[in-house]
Amino acid sequence: MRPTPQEVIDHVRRVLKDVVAPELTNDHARQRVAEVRAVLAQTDWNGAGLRLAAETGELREVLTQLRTQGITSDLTDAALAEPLGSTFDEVREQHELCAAAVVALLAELERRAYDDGPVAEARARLLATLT
Amino acid sequence: MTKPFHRDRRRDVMDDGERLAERLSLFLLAQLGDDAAVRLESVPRRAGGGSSKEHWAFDASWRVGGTRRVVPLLLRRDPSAGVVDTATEVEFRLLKALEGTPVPAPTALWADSTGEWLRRPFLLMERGRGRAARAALQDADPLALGRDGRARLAASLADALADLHAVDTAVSGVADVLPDPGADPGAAELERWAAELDAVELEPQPALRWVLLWLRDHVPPPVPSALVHGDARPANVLVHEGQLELLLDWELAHLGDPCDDLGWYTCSVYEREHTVPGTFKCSDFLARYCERSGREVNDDRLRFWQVLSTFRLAVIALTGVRNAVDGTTTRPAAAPEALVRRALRDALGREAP
Repeated sequence: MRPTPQEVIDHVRRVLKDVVAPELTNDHARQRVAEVRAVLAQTDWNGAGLRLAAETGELREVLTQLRTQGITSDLTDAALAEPLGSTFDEVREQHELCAAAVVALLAELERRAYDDGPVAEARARLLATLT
Repeated sequence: MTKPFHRDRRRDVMDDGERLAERLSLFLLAQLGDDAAVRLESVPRRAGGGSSKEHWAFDASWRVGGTRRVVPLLLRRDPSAGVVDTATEVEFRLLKALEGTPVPAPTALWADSTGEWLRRPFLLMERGRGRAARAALQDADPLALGRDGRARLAASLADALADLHAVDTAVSGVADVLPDPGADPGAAELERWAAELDAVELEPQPALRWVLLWLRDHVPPPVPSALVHGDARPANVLVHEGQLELLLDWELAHLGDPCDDLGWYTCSVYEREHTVPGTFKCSDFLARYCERSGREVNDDRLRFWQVLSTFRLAVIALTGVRNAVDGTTTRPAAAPEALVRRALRDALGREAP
């Protein structure tokens, strides 16, 4: 698909820099344009959806593994109830369910002893997924 | 007496310097009276600085005795939504309380916390001399200080914090302005930011929630409260002729553990920005602070405040995202994923990959 989302955004950033910014006469407006360009540069526009799906898949995988070991929270089943979605909105909703399940699970694991092998391992696996 | 401004949806004063000038002339007249013969010498001009407030610079003059005095002024006005919820009246009273101390704080003249004059609360202060630059200590050297000059500026920031933490909060009146953090200032500050996360997150934040658990498990023993600036860094320092002239932006000031300011200054996000490459490291900053203040910095305490600082920065970024999504700010924002991961790595004690 050409232009890619990234190519479109790159062009917009160039227009802002070369055409819009030089015409601005006050510091506030210049700073806002600089911030807009910076924010546009922060996002991987071609990969954002794919990365969300990959992250959601990772969270689902670790939640599934932990569930087979009997390590679950109240929210785990809801997060894993449906197969991974195929649209951005479906995956985003599933990502939120998984994130909520991880929050609940981490809080539960922190209440248990750290030196408990399976608990410590589960906690480490969850945190590794988040870093 | 001129009546305060009343809402007129057809003409908004929000971004119009000419309309602001009219309203400010009336405000100054109301404060100083007819005999002062107030005159605006320039139209307010929106300045670039200010993360959570609008800044407008202008000059005004009025008669003092038989002489006309020209005063450079800075208007700090609340935005429709800021990244940090702040109270103008508190900031004004704090700056007044600091006037009798060695702390290089701006001179506040008037405040309106009602929003009646300019639609939103504002603070009017004398505009200090010099420039502020976020990269003031970096090799880009935007203030042309030279390597030694940048090291001197970094040292003077450590000195300013030592002097700030030495303020007698009871004698100065600061304790009457800022809320008492209670018996455990560290826990109080942590819960303040936990509540902020509750308020602004658009989706569950597992990494930050775990950092919160870590922080609750590592709150250092309480120490006597001191005045904490809350956002002390080169970006908030006005530099004039190579010297630190003023410490700006007091909206995050609070009573608490003085190590809070040190953790903020030396946290992983700011570590590079706040040191002079090859000349003035974090350890130099802390040594200078200890020498000037006579205080010791405990490693565990510092680490807690460093991790809380990164957590706080992530929450502030999420507030910006919330405001952008809600359409209540003109500042753009992207999801602060890298910052959130950094907060988690800081708590875990891991280096960035």
